[in-house]
Formats: sequence, C-alpha cells, structure tokens
Amino acid sequence: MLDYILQYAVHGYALIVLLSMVLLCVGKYGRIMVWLISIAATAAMAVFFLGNLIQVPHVLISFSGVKNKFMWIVGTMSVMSIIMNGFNSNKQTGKCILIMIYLLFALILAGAGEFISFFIAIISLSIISDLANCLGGDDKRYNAAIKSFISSLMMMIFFILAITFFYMSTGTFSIYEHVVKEESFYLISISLVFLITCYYLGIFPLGICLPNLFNSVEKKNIFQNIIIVRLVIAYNLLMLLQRMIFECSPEMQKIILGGVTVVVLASAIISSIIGINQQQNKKALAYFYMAHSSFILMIVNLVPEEVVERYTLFFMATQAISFGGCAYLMQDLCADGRIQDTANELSGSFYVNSYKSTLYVIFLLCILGLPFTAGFASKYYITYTYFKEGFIVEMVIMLIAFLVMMAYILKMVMNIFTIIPEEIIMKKKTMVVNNFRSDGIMTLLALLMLIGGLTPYLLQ
Amino acid sequence: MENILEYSLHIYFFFPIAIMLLFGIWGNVLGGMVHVATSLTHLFITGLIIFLHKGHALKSVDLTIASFPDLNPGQLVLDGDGPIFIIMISLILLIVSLPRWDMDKRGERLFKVLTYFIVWILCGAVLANNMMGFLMFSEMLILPLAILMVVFCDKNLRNKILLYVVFLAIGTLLSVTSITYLTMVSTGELGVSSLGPEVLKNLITSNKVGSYSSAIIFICLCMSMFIKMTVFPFHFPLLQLCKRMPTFCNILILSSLPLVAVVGMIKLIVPAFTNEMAGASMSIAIVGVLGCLYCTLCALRWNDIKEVVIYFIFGHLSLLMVSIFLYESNTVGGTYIVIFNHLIHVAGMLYVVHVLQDRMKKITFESYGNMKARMPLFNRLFFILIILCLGPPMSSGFISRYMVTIDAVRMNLVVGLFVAACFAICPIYLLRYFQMIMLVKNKITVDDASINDVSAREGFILIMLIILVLTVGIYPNIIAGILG
Repeated sequence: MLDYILQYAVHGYALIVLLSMVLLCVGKYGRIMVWLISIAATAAMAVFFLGNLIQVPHVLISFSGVKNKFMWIVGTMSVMSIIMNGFNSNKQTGKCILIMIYLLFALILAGAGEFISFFIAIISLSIISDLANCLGGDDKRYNAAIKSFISSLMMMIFFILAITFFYMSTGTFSIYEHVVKEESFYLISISLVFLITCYYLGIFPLGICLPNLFNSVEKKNIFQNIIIVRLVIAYNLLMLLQRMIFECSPEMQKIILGGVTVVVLASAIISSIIGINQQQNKKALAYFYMAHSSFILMIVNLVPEEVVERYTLFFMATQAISFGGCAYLMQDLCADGRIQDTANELSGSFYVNSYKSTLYVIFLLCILGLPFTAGFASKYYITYTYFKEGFIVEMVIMLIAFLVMMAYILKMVMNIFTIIPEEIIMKKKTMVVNNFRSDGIMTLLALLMLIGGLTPYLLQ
Repeated sequence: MENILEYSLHIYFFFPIAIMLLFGIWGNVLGGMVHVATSLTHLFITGLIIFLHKGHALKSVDLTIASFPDLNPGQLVLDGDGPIFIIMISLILLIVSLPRWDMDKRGERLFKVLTYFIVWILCGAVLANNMMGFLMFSEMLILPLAILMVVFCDKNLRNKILLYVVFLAIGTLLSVTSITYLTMVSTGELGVSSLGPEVLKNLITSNKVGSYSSAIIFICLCMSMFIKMTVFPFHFPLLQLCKRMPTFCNILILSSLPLVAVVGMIKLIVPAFTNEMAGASMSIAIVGVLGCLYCTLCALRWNDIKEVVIYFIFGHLSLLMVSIFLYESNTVGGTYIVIFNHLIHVAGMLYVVHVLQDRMKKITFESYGNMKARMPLFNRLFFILIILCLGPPMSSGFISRYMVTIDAVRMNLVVGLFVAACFAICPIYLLRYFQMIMLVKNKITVDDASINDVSAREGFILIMLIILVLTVGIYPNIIAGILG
C-alpha cells in the first residue's frame, strides 16, 4: 500500500491541487478544508523527500541525493508558508494552492533532465509568482510587480535563445548527457544562461529590481517570493550553469572563469557600497542579498560534485531564510508599512515588541555570520571550499566587501536596542500586532538558524 | 547524582544563557534583587564546580555536535588556570549586579540580558581548549559590548563607538590571519583547525613555521590581544569613550576585555611562543613603563574625577602587560593576582566615581570638595580603598606590585627601577585626588542636606571590595590553592 502511495505521490499531489481548487468554491468550510489538506499533503511530501522515499515519474524527471534534500527544504518552507497564509479569505486560501503549485513546478525543475521541462518549470514559477504579486497590493506594489514581470518575460526570451544555441551546439536538449560540437554556440548559450542566473540570483546590475521587490511586495509575499521562488529558481539555474561550464573545454573554462570572477567581485563590492548608503533598511537588505548572491555565484567555477551542491544548497537556504525572515519581521515591526523602515523609525523596536525584535536580531546575526548561527556555518563551508580551490585573492576581496556590509548590519542590530521615549513606544505598541501563526513560524525558522550553527549537518 | 556530577560543566556553561532568557522574557517584572540573587547563584555554582573539579574529572562540553571541515571549535574543559578565571568572571558579574545603576526599566532589562551574555562569552573563552574555540568566543564579545555602548552612551559618541568597533575588528583580522597561517603550516591546508596549546607549542618549537614567520605571527597575535587589553598606545580609541560613558559600561568593558586578552595570552600565546616572549620582554617592559608614565602625567592634569580613575586603570593595564611578559619567571599566581587586582581597581574606583556622581550629578573637580563633612562613612571607606590601591603591605596590590617589580629587576635593573618608580608615583595623584574631593573646601556652595551618606547597599559593596583586597593580600596562597 505504502509503495503504491509513494509511486503515485506526485500524481496524487497534483490531484489534490485540483481538488483544492474545487473545494475553494464551497465557502468557509471549503476554505478550511483546503487549508488543512494543503498542509497535510505538503508536509507528507516533505517527509517523503526527507526519507528519499518518493518515486518520481521517470519520463520527465529524475532524482538523486542532494535533490531530495533540496525538495525537503522547499517542501518544509512551503508548509510553513501555507500555515502563515491562513484561511480567512478566498485570496489567502488561493495563495495556499499557489504554493502547492510552486512545489509541483519546483519538483519538475529540480528533476529536469532536459532543457524543455526545465524551461517550462522556470517560466511557470517565475511568471506565476510575478502575476500573484501583481494581483495584490496598492499601486506602488503593483508597479514593482509589473516591472519584475516584464523582466521575467525578457529573461524567458533569453532562455529560449539559450536553448536554441544549446541545441545548435550539441544537437540535443539533454542537460546531463551531451557532447559539445560547436563551441561558439555553446559559449553564447552559457552566456545567456549566466545572464538569467545573474538576474534570478540578484547579481548587480541585473538584480536591480530586487530592492524594489523587497521594498514593495506584501508581507506574506515576501516569504514566498524570497524563500520559495528565489531559492528554487536560483539554485537550479546555478547548478545548470555549473554543469554547462564543466562540459566546456579547459581553454573556454578559463575565459569563463575570468568573466565570472570580474562580475562577482564587481557585484559584491558595488552592492555592499550601495547597500550601506541606503536610508531604508529593507533596500539595504536587498543590496546585501545581492552581495551574498555574488559570493555564491563563484561556485560555477568549481567541479559539480555532491559536496559542492550540498554546501551551495545549505548556503542558499540559509541566505533565503535569514533574509526572508528579516524582511518579514521588519514589515511586522513597521506595522505593515505604517511605520517607515528607516533606522530612526526602527530604533528601540526591542522595547516595542521584544519577541519579534529578538527574532529579527537572530536573523540579522545570521546574515552577519556570527559563530553558532547557520550563517557562520554556511559561509564557512563555502569560503573553505573556495580557499581550497585556490581562489584566495578573490575571497580576500569578497571578505573585505562583507566587512563593509557587516558594519552596517551591526549598526542595524544596535539600533534595535536604542532607548526611545516612553510615549513613542506606547504609540508604536498599538500598531504592531502579534500573530500566533506567523510568530510561531518565525520562531521555528530562527531556531533552525541556531540549530544549523551547532549541527550544520542536519540541514545539509 | 552521578549524572549531575558528570554534566555539571554543561549546567555551569549554560546557566548564564538560561538567566539571559529569564531576563529577556520577564525582565520588566523581575526586580534588581533577582539580578543580585542570580549573580550570587552564579558565584555559588562557580565555587561548587571548582570544588567538584578537585575530586572528579568533569565531562567536557562539546561546542558543536558536528565539526566543520578543518575547523573544530573543540571542547570546553575546566583545567589549568580555568578555575581562577571563572571565579573572576563571577566576581565581575556580582560587582555589576549589586549596585543600583541610574537607568530606566527598559535599559535595566537590556543591561541584565547583555551582562549574562557577556558572562557566557567570557566563560566560553576561558574554558575553550583550542585556538578556534577561544577566537569564536573572544571575538563575539565585541557584539554585546558594542550594543552596550551604543544604547547607553550619548548619541554624539556613535562615530567614536563605530571607530572603536572597527579597531577591535582589526584585532580580529590579525588573529584570524595568524591562526589560518598556522593551520596551513600544521595541516598543509587552509582552514582554522583545532590548534590547542600543545599542538601550537610543538608547531613553534619544532621550527616548522620558521623563525621570521613565527615572529610575525607572535606580533600579530600580541597586537590583537593588546587591542583588547586596551594598553598604551592602543587605548586611544577607547579613552574618549570611557570618559563619557556610564560607569556600569566602563566597569563591564574595562574588566571583560582585558580579562579575555589575559586569558588568550596566558593560555595560548605564552606557552607556545617562549623564545619570542623572552625576546620581546625588554621592549614590552619599556613600552609598559612609558605607558604607565604617560597615564600618570595625563592623570595629573585634573580635568574631572572620572578621567583620573580612567588613567589610573590604563596605567595599571600597562603594568599588567609587563607582568604577562615576565610570566615565565613569575612565582605561581603572580599574574593572576595582578589581573585580580586590576578588576578590583576597576570596580572599586569606578564605583566610587558612580557614588559621587550620583550625589553631585557632575564630574568636574570644581563641584567637589569637603565631602568628608557631608559623607563621613563614605570618607572612611574611600580612604581605605585609595590606600589599598596604592599597594601597602597586606593588600593584593602589594603582592602584585612586588612580583612585577622583582621580576623586572631580575630581567634588567634599570627597567626594574622604572617599574618601581611607576608604582611609586601613583600616590602623587591618587592621594591628591582624595584630598581634592574629600578634604579641600569647594568654591561652589552646595546644600549639605541634599547630599546623603552612602546607603547600606553602597557601603556593603565598598566593604566587600576592601575585604577581597585584604583577603588576597593577607593570604595570597588562596590563588595557588584554587589553581591546585
């Protein structure tokens, strides 16, 4: 019986998504049922992935060690995101179904063995999330989402071109089993995939819409945009790019290595410098996210091994959770935009809501890379790998850029504890609302960041 | 019971975290007495753990469940000079928690949380059995101290605080670079591996590193520790801050940073770099003497009552640095008495400043004078404390000064004489300091009725400090007893 369930788990999950859409029309009880079913089904999928139990339909996708881990992380995040969404309105429950759809496409993306399914999964994930952002929120948010949507469409055009050139150079769509026949076309294909990866990772200047996205999307969208969609797309593109570069001839690899290094260093330095000049904390965070992404982009210069994939996944998951958690809690502490997220407005938040502020500080310290947090562990693994591979000068430059960023984050941490007058505290206290579900999830994520610092192998 | 014994070090190490959470969650409800009670409990547990340690081997605490590649923060063990340092940490906590500081409820809550965070970090640094563990804790100390300064200091000082944090970060960079290089030599790979004192000693003595490289690493590590110790000439970034920050910040910063630096020097640098230490001792002694003389001259400028105390402490820190470099030739416990003495000076003299500032609300000398008539009990206690700071026989100051001077004379007579001279000139400004505050009639008329004598709490704290100084002074073997 269990074997049967595991064999058709993905089909069953897709069926549940369809069923949920029907149930959504029933009314209040339908909404509650959809919510509960989506939590149960997604949690079950996450558990199956954790135990490497799931048997995926081999026609389209194939799974191996790290990908199961990846799907487990995405599945767990999806469960958390669904719980946070709640079931109070059709819009909220609709988002739960959307998250389930994201998980399905993430599954296709992670297991895609050839370019077409990879492309379908990316375009679906990217465009659905952008459209979802467009549908909710005010004019400012709508404009930011539209910009992001147009950029995504552009990237999809580039992706189609990349696939074309890939086919012209190899004569196949297969990602894993191909032989390069025409190197110039292959190089163009790599350049285009590199461009798209830079966009989704948020490498400067292609990730320039990221600060606006950080700044303008709704509180609940931040979580799913940053943690689920960004992590899923960026990680898989990174792995694809690494695989493609690995298949190149050594001479071409050298050329690509030089190009990637220049882009990475420029992005890390510029993002850090622009970040520290930002007035709004959320925008500064977005630039620091870009600097972090530059750090991980260097991984494409390494040989695609399971250990490198594991470290990358750990780094990106930690990055997504810590930045997502920060952005979410900042929005919470800013009373959903009623308080501006500038340094002055956020100072003394510890006395306004000590619980949320403590969680916020934990996430910030994780970004900072303080020992005994997952931020430190993940950065250490990647830095260690780079050093071992001989990227010493590059790493030193990157670490200097990180130090600049750290000073700003340290300032943000200290700002939270600044003592402010009692009347301002009382005024802000009435505006910041506690929510059992979202606070609980944030606590879990913060604990995960601390556990990841002490027992990093658990999250790898 | 056996389990409790076996895991008593775990309980001890995580006790400050538990208290930190307690104050973090219920800080607004729990009053000052709870803070005193928890600090006394910490002292009691510290005593108990040392007692248990004598008879039984305590199970060491693993810092991480899975070690990183080429990075092993190692374990926490209570051995060597650990017991004496954890007693000092406990005393710092007690001294900080006993007084009633001038701050509102919100600040008080944060202060309690940060104090226990600092205590936890200090315990971790003391108990760490390798370079990596020590580095992780000692460098983490920057964070709570930076928050403490930013929150409780004037907003105008933020740039100076940032400058000081950057200065400390430079020290961190120097340490990390040195240890990374040593790891590279040790394992042939890049990383920050588990370099314990023994491994480090073998590495340096077997000449694997090379004489020039080991000298450079030694200088880098010493610089990093000196920055933390805030000795002359590395004290400048902290100097302006110290003058203007609240007294409780002064006590925490000037006691925790030098303590962690001394731990690093004694546990990791002194045993490994024996030749380098011997080679540098003369230069360090000269720098120490110069630093002490410079601080004495600055203290003689008489700007305000706090500045004099700060310079006195910085001067004493310079001699603490000298005592560490003469560590090998010291009799057992010499340096420990010097650092203990430093902690008492920091706590005692700065607390006196706090008591005076609490009454007069000003720190300039013009506001003070004839305090003897207004605060008779305080006058007596302050006088005893000043005399004990001068290092008369039967005080801990005497033992520490005697040992440093004797060791300096053994090394070089001229340097020894200069060290003795540094001690000898202390009374010039300290006695004058007492005279200016307590005896000389002031120009500004203050309503005497508005100035109260010391309260029972304040009196108790001062008497406790005096008793501590006298106990170690009369029976210095107590340190050797704790060390076993």
